[in-house]
Amino acid sequence: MKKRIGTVLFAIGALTLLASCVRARPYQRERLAKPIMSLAGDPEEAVLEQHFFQAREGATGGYGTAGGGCGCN
Amino acid sequence: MRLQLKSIPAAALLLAGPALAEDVEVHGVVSMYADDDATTVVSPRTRVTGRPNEDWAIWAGWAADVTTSASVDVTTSATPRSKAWDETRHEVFGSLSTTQGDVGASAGAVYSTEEDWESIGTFGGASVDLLQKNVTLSGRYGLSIETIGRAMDANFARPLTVHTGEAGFTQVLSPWAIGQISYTLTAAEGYQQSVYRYVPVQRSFSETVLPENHPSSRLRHAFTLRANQHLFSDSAIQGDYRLYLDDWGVLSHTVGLRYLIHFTPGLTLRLRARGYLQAGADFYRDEYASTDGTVPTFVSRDREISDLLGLLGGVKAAWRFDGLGPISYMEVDAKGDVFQYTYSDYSELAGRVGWVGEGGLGGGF
Repeated sequence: MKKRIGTVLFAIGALTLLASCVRARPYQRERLAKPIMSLAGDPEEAVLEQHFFQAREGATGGYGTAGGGCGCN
Repeated sequence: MRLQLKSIPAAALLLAGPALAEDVEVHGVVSMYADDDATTVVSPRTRVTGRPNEDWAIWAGWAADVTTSASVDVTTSATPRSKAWDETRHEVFGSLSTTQGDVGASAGAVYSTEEDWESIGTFGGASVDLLQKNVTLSGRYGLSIETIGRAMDANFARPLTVHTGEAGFTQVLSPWAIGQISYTLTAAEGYQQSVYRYVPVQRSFSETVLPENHPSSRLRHAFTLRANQHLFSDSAIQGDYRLYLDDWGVLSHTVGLRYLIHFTPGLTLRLRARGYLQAGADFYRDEYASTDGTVPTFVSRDREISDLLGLLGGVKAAWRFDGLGPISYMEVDAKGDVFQYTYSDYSELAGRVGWVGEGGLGGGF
C-alpha cells in the first residue's frame, strides 16, 4: 500500500516537472473556456450523482464534491 | 448550470464554485430515482449564489432525499424495519469562495439529518494557477462528524468521524485539450455497519444470527484521471478513470465517457456511459459457515461491498436563454439515465435495474 502511494506521488511530481512547458497561450484558450470543456461540469448534478453512487457502490472520492452524511444504513 | 471558467484552468472541480459574472444566481434541481428492488427516491436541491464583487462568491442551499423502500435486504431482516419504510433526509449547506489573482480559496459547511442519522461537515480548499495558467495545483480537506442512530430507539447513538483530503493537478495539454489527475484519501473511524442488517452464520448443527459487524476503521484511496478534448465544430469528448482501493479489500475501477455537442443558440446535448467494476471486501461472504464453532469477527450482508458490476447510460439536454429583461440568463436542463447493477456474490438479489430522471432550472440576475 505504501509503495503504491509512493509511486503515485512520484508520478504526480514527474508530471509537474513535465508540465514546465506552456501548452497554450492566453489567446489560444478560446475552446478551453467553453462550458463543454469544463472539468467540473454542473456542480448540482455532480453532488447528486456522487451521493447516488456512494449509496450503491463501495467506492468513494475522486471527483471532488462535498456533501452531508449518506445515512445509508 | 454549467461552469464558465474565467481563467483557465482554475480547478473549479475541487473548489466546487461557480464562476459566472451575475450578482445573484438561483438554481434548483429535482432528481427522481426508481429501481426494480422496490426503492424510489425523490431528491430536490436548491442553491442561491451571491457575488458582492468579482473576487468573492457566497452560496447556500438546501437539499433533501425522500426515500421509500422495500428493498430485499431490509424485508429479509428480522428487524422492526422488515417492511416498506419511508424516510426523509434534509441537508443545508453554505460556502464562501474567493479568487485573488492566481490563487483561489473556498470554505464551507454541510449539515444533514434524518430520523436515524445526523452529519455535520466542514471543508476548505485552495488552488494556485502556474505557468500562465497552464497548470493548476489544488487541495482540499474535509471533516465530517456523524451520529448513527436507530429508528424507534432514542437511546441508540454511535459516532463516526470521516477525514477527507484531496489533491489535484490540472494541465492544459493543448489549445484543444485539458487533463487532470487527482488523489483522494478518506479515513473513517467509528460505526460503519447497518443497525438493521443481521447475518446468518451456519454452524455444525445450528444457525446463529449476528448483527452486522464491520471494522471500525477504514482507509480509502481514489486515484482519478480526467481529460477533455475539443472536437470539430462545437463538441467535446470527456473521459475519466478512477482506481479505488481500501483496507477492507474493496477494489474497483470506474470508467466514464461523455460526448457533448453545443447547438446554437444555447442548446447543449450530452450523451454518456459509465461502467463500474468492483471486487468485494475481504471479510464479505454470501454465506458464512463455521465448522469449529467459532464466530467470524466481521460479518456483513451489505451487497454494496460485495463483487458487483454497474453500468449506466443516459442523455442530458440543457437550454440557456440570455437577455430576458431583468433576468440576465435562464437555463433549463433535463436528464435521463438508465442503470443496471449485477451482484455475483449476493444470493438474495441477482441485480437491479432502474432509472434516474432529473430536471433543473436556474437563472442569473
